Amino acid sequence: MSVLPYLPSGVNDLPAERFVIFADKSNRIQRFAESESTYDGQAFTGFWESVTLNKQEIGRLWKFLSLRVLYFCEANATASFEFTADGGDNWTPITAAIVATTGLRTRTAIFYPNLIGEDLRFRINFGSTIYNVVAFDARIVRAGKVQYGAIP
Amino acid sequence: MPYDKLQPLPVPQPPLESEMIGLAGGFVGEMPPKGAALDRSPSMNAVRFQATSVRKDFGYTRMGEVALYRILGLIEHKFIRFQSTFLRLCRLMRDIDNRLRLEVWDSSDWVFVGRTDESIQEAYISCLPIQGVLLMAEGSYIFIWEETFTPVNIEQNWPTGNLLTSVGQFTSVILDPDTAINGDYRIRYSVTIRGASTNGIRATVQILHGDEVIASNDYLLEANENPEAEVTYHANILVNRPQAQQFDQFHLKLAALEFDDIPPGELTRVFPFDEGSPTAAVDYGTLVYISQGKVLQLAVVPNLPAENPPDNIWRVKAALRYNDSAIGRARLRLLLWRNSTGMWEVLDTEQFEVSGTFPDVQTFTEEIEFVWENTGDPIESLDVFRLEASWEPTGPISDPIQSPGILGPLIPLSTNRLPQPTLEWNIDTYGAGGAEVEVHGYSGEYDGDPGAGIEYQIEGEPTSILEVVSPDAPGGRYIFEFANRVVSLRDGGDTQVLAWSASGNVRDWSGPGSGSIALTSSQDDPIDDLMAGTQIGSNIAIILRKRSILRLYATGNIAQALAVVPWINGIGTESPFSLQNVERGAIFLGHNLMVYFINEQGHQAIGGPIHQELIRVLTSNLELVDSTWDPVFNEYILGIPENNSEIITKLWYFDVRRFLDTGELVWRSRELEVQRLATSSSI
Repeated sequence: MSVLPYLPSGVNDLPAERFVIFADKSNRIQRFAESESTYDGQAFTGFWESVTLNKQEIGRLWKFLSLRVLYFCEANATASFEFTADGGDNWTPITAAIVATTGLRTRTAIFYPNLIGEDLRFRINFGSTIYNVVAFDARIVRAGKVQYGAIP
Repeated sequence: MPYDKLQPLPVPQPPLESEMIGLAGGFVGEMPPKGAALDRSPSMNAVRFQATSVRKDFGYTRMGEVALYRILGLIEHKFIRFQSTFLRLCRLMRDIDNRLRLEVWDSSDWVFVGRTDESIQEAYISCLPIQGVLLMAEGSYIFIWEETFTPVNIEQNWPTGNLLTSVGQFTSVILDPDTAINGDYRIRYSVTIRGASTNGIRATVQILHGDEVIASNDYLLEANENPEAEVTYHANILVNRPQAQQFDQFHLKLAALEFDDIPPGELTRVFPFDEGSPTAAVDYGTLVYISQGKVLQLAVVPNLPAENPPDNIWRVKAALRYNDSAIGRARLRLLLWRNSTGMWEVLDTEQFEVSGTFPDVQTFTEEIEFVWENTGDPIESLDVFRLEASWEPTGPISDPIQSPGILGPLIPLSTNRLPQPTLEWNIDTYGAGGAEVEVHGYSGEYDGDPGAGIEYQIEGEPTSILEVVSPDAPGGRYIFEFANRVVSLRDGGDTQVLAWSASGNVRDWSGPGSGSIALTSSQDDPIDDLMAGTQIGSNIAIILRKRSILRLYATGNIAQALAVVPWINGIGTESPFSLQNVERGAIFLGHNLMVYFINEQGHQAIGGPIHQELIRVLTSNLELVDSTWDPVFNEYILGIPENNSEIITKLWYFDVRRFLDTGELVWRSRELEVQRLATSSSI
């Protein structure tokens, strides 16, 4: 038995809040917070990558004409998207200005990657500005013939 | 085969023009990206879904300083004491001497609480808050951490000389120490009321905390005509005021005084006559009959004060009723007797005659009032009065009357019965013109202050106990609660032994209700280790072995309180800390790296989308897998060490809400280096 150091007193109402916490690599306790956009002060990024957009005719070439996305965001910013026509071996970055919206009202941003390949995908990169991408509409068309030998 | 003969992958159709695709389908890892639905993703990091949209995930912020050692346990320990809930967020380590070290978050930093005397292994610590204590096990021991408080009685007095005598006055005391541990405050004061009134004197005393009335009590001096009459109450009031804090003020206030003055001389004493004896009457319940030549006595022994009415006038009110069907005349007589010296004397006589021919039953009712001027001694308490009724024929009577008269006792006239005879007189009421009240909060200065003015308890010196829960306890590797017991898996060195404590006593591992079972046979593994367990229903728990699942239930027999039966073969876990209770069941990572949802109805594979991914990257250190449950976003969070890592490197989030609502299996991920995961309700 030892003397207990000062610890907070009891409370009368159970808090309705919850905090997901973890011990990080350096053995510091951290808590996820809805209002935090950094990792304990350090900027971090996230990304979301699409599946292959051209679903048919393996080996055919397809052309990525445009990508239209619906978004809403809290502040004017630049959205950074990347596009690939080879399944992710090479990425082409394209940015677009996005405009702050009110509430869940959405706006549209359009990208024109104009890439040709067998495996068309795009990736949304999230930086410091918080924005939500609600949906996308990719316009692709068949382009060229089968590329023999290009399929692993 | 020429490539142009290849068949396309079957499932999806090319997007139609202007078809908008949502992005909240979650991770897809069970099929190539070309075959997956367009709303899903083969690769993502640090994003979350909101409705159909995707956004960057939340960040995190630090809580205090870096721990000195690797954090092996992270748990919020809640317990209730003194009607309050205590929340202790604990981090556990193995220190440089290989002892278990406990630190607790004090809302701004981590406070060292203690360390064990025993050495522990470097392994995840299984934690269990139960019955107000925290249990910790890592394989060698089960430790207990218990906070104890010895309450300290605090006594404070109301200010010296306080005396509240008029409405609105109050006295105050400032709470000196900190908040009462249970919010209970015992408040003592006295109330003295003095005076005469017709309906009583009512004093209302309030106890206030700041401006808020927290108790209000009425005190009554019953109606009387004596202005010197008084009554004293010693109030001992218990109020519960958890929100009271140090330096708050309690007030004692005389809030109201209600009474009616008694005008002089208007009080009338009324003493009813009781039925007396001897009597020849026959009691028929509501009426009293007398017969010829007999008398009825009604007497009373009023507990009279020795007093004379100022006018010496005494009144006796009675009534006489005569029933007869005869013809003739009769005289009815009522006499008032008094016996104050042992001798009866007639004080007064009233009589009247009834006469005539009464072919039918006739009733005469005569109300009689004696007005008697007493010129002798004042009436005292030994006086006895007798009211006597008699009758006699005074003229021809055709037929002897057998029961000519009826004298009514105690019946109100308004009900067509006779009133109860009474003896009345007026007294001088002293002309009482008001009431006095004195409220005194106990201040300890008078003998009449039995106790302190305010009493409450604060936390005493808190002590901490961190020790092995019991010398009889096993060395549990994983502990959980079931049937009000601690269930310990992997007793000592045997990985197939489970043991449990006595019901309601986590320290009793040898008494009635405790026990153990050694499980040795399994269809799936000759040594099917016990790995983890949790309660999944009101009377059912599951025990995960490495290759099978058992049901655990309470037998009702104290000799063997718990028992197990095989339930699911071929599915177990090698990641005990992946087991997490979630809404409507539990989730765990199976030994085959499939994630399962399980409840009383059975199990269901939910890890399909990430199964191949886990097979690819989760190649070792399965015991380091950890998990937690986010009850707000309804997400099960699974942390895995990828590619032989010694710590968790990726978190997988499973949307339990959507799974339960729609059956969809939506996973998302975040790359993060983590030692342990937990959920806390306070920080």
